[in-house]
Amino acid sequence: MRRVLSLYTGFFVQSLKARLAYRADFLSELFASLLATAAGILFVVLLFHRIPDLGGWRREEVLFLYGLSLVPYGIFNIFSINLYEFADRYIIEGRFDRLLLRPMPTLAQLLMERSRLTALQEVAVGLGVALWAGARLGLAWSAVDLLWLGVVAVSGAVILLAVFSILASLSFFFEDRIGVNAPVWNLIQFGRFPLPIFGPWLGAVLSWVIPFGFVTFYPATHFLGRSAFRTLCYATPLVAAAFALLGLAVWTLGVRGYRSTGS
Amino acid sequence: MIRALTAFARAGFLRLVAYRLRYVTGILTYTINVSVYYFIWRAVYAHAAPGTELRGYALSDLVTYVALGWIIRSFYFNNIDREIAALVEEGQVTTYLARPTSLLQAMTGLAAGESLFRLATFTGPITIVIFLLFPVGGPAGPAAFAAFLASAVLSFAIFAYLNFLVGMVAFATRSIAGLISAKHYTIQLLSGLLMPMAFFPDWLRLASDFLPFRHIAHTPAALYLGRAAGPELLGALGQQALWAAILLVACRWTWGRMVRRLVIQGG
Amino acid sequence: MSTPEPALQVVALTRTFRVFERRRGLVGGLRDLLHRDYRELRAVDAISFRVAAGEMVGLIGPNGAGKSTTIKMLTGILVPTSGEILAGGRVPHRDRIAHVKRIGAVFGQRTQLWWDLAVIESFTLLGKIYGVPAAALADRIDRLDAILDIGALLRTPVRKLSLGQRMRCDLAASLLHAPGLLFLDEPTIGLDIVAKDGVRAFLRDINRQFATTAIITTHDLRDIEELCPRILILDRGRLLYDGPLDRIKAAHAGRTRLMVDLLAAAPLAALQAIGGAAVTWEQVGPVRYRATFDRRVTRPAELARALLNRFAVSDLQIPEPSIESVIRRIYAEGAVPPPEPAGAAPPPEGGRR
Repeated sequence: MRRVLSLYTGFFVQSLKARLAYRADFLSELFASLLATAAGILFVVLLFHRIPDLGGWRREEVLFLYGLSLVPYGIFNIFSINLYEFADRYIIEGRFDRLLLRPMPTLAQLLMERSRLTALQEVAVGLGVALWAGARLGLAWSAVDLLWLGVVAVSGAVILLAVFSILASLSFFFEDRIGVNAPVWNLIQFGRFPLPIFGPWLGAVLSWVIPFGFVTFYPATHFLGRSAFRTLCYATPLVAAAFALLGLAVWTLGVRGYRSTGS
Repeated sequence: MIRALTAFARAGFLRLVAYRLRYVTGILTYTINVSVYYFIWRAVYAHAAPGTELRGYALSDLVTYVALGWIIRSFYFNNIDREIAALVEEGQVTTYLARPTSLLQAMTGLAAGESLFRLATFTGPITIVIFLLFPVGGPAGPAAFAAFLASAVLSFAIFAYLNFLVGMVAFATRSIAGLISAKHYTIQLLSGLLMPMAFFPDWLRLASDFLPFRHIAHTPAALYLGRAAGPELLGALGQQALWAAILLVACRWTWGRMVRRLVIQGG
Repeated sequence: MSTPEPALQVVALTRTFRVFERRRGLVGGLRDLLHRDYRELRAVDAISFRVAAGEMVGLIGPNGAGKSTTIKMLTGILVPTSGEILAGGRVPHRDRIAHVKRIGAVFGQRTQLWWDLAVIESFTLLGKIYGVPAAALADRIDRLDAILDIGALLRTPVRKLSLGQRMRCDLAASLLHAPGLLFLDEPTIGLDIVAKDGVRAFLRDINRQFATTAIITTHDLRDIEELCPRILILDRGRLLYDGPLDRIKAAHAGRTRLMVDLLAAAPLAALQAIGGAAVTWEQVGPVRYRATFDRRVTRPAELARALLNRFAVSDLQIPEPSIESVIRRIYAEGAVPPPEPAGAAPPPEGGRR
């Protein structure tokens, strides 16, 4: 574990250096990333300009959810690039063999090899928006709340990582690759809004099939004092653990398939 | 010309066969995008009496508006800006200096062929799926529908020319990811893809009246809903055409300048 | 068997693939959409051999012969369809992490270094991945620098290295964790003559200093000549030959060729006067002639000297037979020298399919 941690720090510092070597590219990427975040928040602000509430949720509540959702999403995005481009970069361009030639678990190598540092922007902006909206809502932060915030940020990121590891594993089995990532990536949007507005069917899918509801919405009800979701509110770490195990199992199966079919 | 088109359609078809999963998930992606905004608007009207209008739109109008916006996006969308950036980076752009077709003609021609092809293979299925899943209304009338179709073609032109202009910046700087992203989100918000202009604050609506973006999504969808009739309808189409013409002139002027610069620098 | 503990032992190694058969044309494409046809391809077909510790063995064969499939199985990346591999007492594909810890691999066309990082930073990361202590790593880099002369390159980003420099750094990278077994896939591909010579010299030095066992696949016959006393020839998945290179060369010495371009055309008879009956002359171009002879009977140097003395020669070359042509001839003429009993493993029980 300590070796993995020191290794990760090594990789992280190196990719930081490598990114900063092309300063213009880095700034351009940071700008692009900031714009994407801003556009999403701006949509919520514009939406509430002419409407009183969203299915019973006030502007500050929705902004709180939206901001909070960016925290696990940002952590996830530090690692997500290699998962998202896994099929093209590693399978089609043949880099995966090199991972197999190194004495380390392949998934750990994959997550480490390239970091997207601009994603830290999402964590910062999201936290800022959530704190601002929380202040407007008059939320008081106890030590337990802060602890829960940390747990949710990490667990939520784990859920996202697990889901996209599973999708990346599919590239071991199917010739036609990257396709599934895009629609599931778009599903993340649903997790930024109050889940009940999406109706029972979609709500069930987002809770029990692709558990994006547990990334932000359910745990956030703890802060918003919406007691209707008391039972699911604290399940996030459990869902994260379950999906992490599932993700590892599917990945292992995928690697086994790759090594036995040689595709 | 016809032969070039059939060759293109053939290549496109074979690519589609090779990437069959990508094709299905492409349809899924659009369906998901429509459903996000469908449910958001449904929630907006959740506590209002049936038939209530907000800013002149009933819920059924908004659903139709959002659905049509995404449906035509599946037709007009292209990546001309990224493609030009890639050409510049690979140093291949100079080959267009020697060719009889300019880069503008080549890029928009290729994009048009691709859009026509996608119209049949992508927009068609997306339309069917979206009409089956969501309560999308029909066009306000035959004239409105005809105007909508013409308007969608102009959307393509405006979108393509804007992308071309953004792509031209790649000649000045290698790092245009930020600019491409800025264009993407500006269009997403100011084209009216996500919400009609009527929901904007007044100052933003006023500003968007003087910008080309609203003609990419808002104008065709509003025409479909019959928000303009008779002379107003022609006026809307005329405005759209005017913007397409202005952008075309801007593209040609920029490319012309770029050619002169490249020739002087010796490629 | 005389060698008690081979570095690598391979018995009846076989690998088959399922290959997707694309139908032709538009209608075919449409049918592919619904149903795909597959064909079985036997990429490696029951090959057996063993490699002693410290040996350098060349694995050669034309494209599609099964070389890279074999390498993938030996390195533990790919699981065999059947057959056995034992490397240092381990089965590579079953015990991947333990196996890859003690092997090194260099793929000529693909670097294992990180493109944007300085060489030393890549080395440090690799040291961490392989669990090499910092002091041992520094010492190792020093020793490798003495052989490969990479000291000046350590601070350079990999993307700025020339191909030859990159190959030296890649070699060093593959040796940082002191592997006992080294796989080299086309280690000289794309390099110029000087760089090729350098890499070959380094490999000889490494083999001598660290007693590293090495398996080398290559298209370049000179790599084999200078590095590998023993070669394995693969063709269409089968092991055609296992033995010293000399015997293959001897078998083909009788077909040595010399090409000469003269400044002005000369009658064939004038050329036939050179070398006598042991040399066959043909005219293959307006001023180009080809001699075919046995280099054990006629020395190429003598032939060249005689030509230069009597004619105005504009160009003269003795083309090295390519691996492809050697193998093609082996295949066509059935001229495979009998395998050496000591080098080859016994045939598997039950024999071949």
